[in-house]
Amino acid sequence: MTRYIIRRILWFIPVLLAIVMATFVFVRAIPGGPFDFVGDKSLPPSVVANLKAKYHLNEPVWKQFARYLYDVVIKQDLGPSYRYRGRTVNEIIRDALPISTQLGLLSLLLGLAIGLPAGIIAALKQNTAIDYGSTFVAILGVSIPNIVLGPLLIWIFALKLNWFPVARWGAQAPFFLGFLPVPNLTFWKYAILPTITLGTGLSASIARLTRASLLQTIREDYIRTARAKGLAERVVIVRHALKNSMIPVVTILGPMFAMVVTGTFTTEQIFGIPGLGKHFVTSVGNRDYPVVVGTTLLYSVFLVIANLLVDITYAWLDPRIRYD
Amino acid sequence: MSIKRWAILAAVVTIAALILPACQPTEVEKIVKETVVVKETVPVEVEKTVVVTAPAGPSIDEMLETVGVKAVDDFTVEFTLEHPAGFFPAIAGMWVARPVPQWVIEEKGDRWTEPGFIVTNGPYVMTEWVHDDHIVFEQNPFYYDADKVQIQKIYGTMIVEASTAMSMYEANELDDTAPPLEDMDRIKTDPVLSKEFVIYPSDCTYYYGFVTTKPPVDNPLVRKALSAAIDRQTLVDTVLKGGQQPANAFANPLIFGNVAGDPDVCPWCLDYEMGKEKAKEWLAEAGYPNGEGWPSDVVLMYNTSEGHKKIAEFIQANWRDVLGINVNVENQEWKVYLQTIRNDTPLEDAPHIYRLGWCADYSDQNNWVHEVFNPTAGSNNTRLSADDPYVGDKIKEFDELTRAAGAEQDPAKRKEMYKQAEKLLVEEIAAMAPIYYYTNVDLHKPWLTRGKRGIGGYHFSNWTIDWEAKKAATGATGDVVTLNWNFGTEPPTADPGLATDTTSVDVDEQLFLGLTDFDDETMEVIPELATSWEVSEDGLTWTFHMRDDVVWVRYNTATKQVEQVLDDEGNPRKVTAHDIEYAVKRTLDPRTASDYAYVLYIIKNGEAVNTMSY
Repeated sequence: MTRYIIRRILWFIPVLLAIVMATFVFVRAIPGGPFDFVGDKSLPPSVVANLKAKYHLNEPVWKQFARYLYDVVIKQDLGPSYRYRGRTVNEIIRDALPISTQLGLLSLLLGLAIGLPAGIIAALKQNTAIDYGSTFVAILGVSIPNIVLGPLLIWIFALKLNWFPVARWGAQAPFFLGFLPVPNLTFWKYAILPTITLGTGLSASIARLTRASLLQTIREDYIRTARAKGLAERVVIVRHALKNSMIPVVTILGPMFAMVVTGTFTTEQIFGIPGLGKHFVTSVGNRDYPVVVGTTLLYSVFLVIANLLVDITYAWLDPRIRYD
Repeated sequence: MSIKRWAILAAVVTIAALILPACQPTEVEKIVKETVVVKETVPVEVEKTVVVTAPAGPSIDEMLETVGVKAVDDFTVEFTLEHPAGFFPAIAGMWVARPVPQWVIEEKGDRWTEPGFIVTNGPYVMTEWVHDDHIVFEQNPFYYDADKVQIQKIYGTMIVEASTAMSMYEANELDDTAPPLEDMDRIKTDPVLSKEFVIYPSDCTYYYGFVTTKPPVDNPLVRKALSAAIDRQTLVDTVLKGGQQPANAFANPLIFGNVAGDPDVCPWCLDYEMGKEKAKEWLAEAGYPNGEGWPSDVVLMYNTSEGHKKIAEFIQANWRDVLGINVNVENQEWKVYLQTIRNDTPLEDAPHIYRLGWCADYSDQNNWVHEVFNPTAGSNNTRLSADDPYVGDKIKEFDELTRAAGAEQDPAKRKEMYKQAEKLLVEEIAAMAPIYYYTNVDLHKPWLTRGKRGIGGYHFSNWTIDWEAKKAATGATGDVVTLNWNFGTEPPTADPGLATDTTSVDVDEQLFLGLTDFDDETMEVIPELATSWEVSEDGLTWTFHMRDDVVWVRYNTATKQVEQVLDDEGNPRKVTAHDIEYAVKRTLDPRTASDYAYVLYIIKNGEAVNTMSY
């Protein structure tokens, strides 16, 4: 197992390199550059040349890439932002990532807390009112986009009932361990609505997958065997069925984790949360190359690590899976 | 195995992608080549003033010494211009020319604008800036006019989503917001909100430009017909709904020398009944009676946006109904679009008609008809040329007129010249179809008394809040009169030398004073750091006399106090002409890479130094 993990970690290097290289090249291949215009105004070529010289964009792409790689690997420097003059990509990630991670983890926990029980109950009580009810809610949760749910929650709970503030985030750096906020009342007051907005969508996906997977598992031969041995139904479900049925769920949890902890554009935008989500999107429109590559790299790191954890979890969930 | 195969494939693809574009000269290299050509002319221009000793020519630092800005004494600054410019006092107060603290910039580099480091001289100081979340300004007690500032603190959020800001406004978390279009009908009928709703004029114009070398819009009659067949008032009433003003000329009503609403200029732009008749006549005269023979490939292009799409479709329908012609509506993503409409794009890739907007950098027509449409000195996306077979002579006249108007010193004569220029632009050459003048829709609470957003930013220092009323209504506490404001986005910079966008300019307006400023009501140039100024006979030398009671301040993040910055002798450090000289040279230094450096090209050797490579 250890050998497997080391081998996988070594594989991260070419994978991340390929991702960075592809992003680095492709973002430069999109027509239009970061400095051609400000607003509707075209800049004189002399000013554009000054800006490009400042950021070394006047060099050949391979040279820019070599420079970038050197900065990232040797100096852990992801470069300056072209749009936010005076800020670096490192600073942007340092400021925004902890907040996105807080929201993402809370939402993921909420998603699991609702999604897993709902899916399990629905599967065990298949074709009953509980099953139909939870399936209906799950489909509703998947179908209502955050862009609708967010403003709806704001309207009901912030404007009409006055229970929560409309928007924004209730924690500010410095954080414990770099990302854990002080869980005081202010924090929760600000966190609840966005967490529900993001978490319900996740819970719906988790619930549907859990239900389908568990339904399939309880029809397996080994479940029949377990029952035939005279095991208690609770033991059959918890020890044998549930554990094995978690494989598809864990599979989607990996990418889901990477996605939500690095920031979600819509939820953060609706609630005015200073997370990383917007930088993934607006940096492309701004042609802010270092931010595009930096955020993509960050997301990739989260993704490959999450996938590795998923693979390790497989071995624990299903003893038949062996990596050595 | 599958991971391995995938990784190898990805690596091969990316290496190929990396190498292929690198083999060809990139856009970057082309631009560098162009700049080199420009640079070659530099030594010729500066020979009179610089003794070129080294064969490589003067260094950037040596060239900076020759730039036409000089502190004559501590409180007198003198500018020498490339050519006479009646509008120069407007330029002199722009953010790129505002004094900045040399010693802080040299010590802290790019980080000098962070709270705790930043040293400023305006009515407010920046006490907090949590990026992407909020920015806090507090009153500067050492500001020379501090007695007149009533709002003591500004808490500015950066909520991007207009509907969220609207909800915050309704929950009394904001004192002011720009309501989203979807809420407009509700606001106008709501008994409370309708009283808090105001429409302010804005300094921007929305227009369609014609690529004047691309048939059939190479014919000015066709362009005039298209412009005249737009029902501007109905567009405003049914599509835009923000009280916008239909446009008959390019420059916005807030601009010096504008002819917005003047019935002498483009009367058919404002009178749709007249416009319809004229449009049909002109199109027939151009050879397309009732749209017969109209080519099927004419393209109207806009940058992808729901709002621009609605406008384009409305105007497309106008043209179909009035002229019997079909125009294809297409859109592109913003940065791609901006490339497409450049005048160096191959003609076959350019659209016939494109949409753009223009907002004021400073309140003068020079910033409008000249900088945008002048065929030889402006952006000239419409590709005007004196060789035009139809109206080449008019284009030549327009070229000379906007140059002469910029150089003219007499304001009355300048206004008359710009009126002629606008008539040429929209009537005779018809290079563009003005559509409407933007407005700012605004909701503000009854306890806030606010002004317009003048060119150059909001003047929070002139606004007032009935603090008792706000406390009673919102539950706010304490004695610090606080404005809850939404900037709407993270300001890309607080450095006046680098600002390019309205949010950054709004931040700079609180922190840094200029030699001049614009009046919020009249938009006229008014004194700020300078108390008076005069120009030499030849119009080339401007002398500004400055106040001697403006000091540099810093917010001490440890003691939470605003402190004066002291000089070597322990006296408060004043804002002097030397600071202005430094700021102007810093903006023009190519190593600063200031986007807006080009507005200072009017200053002697400004362009020469800014186009040097390093």
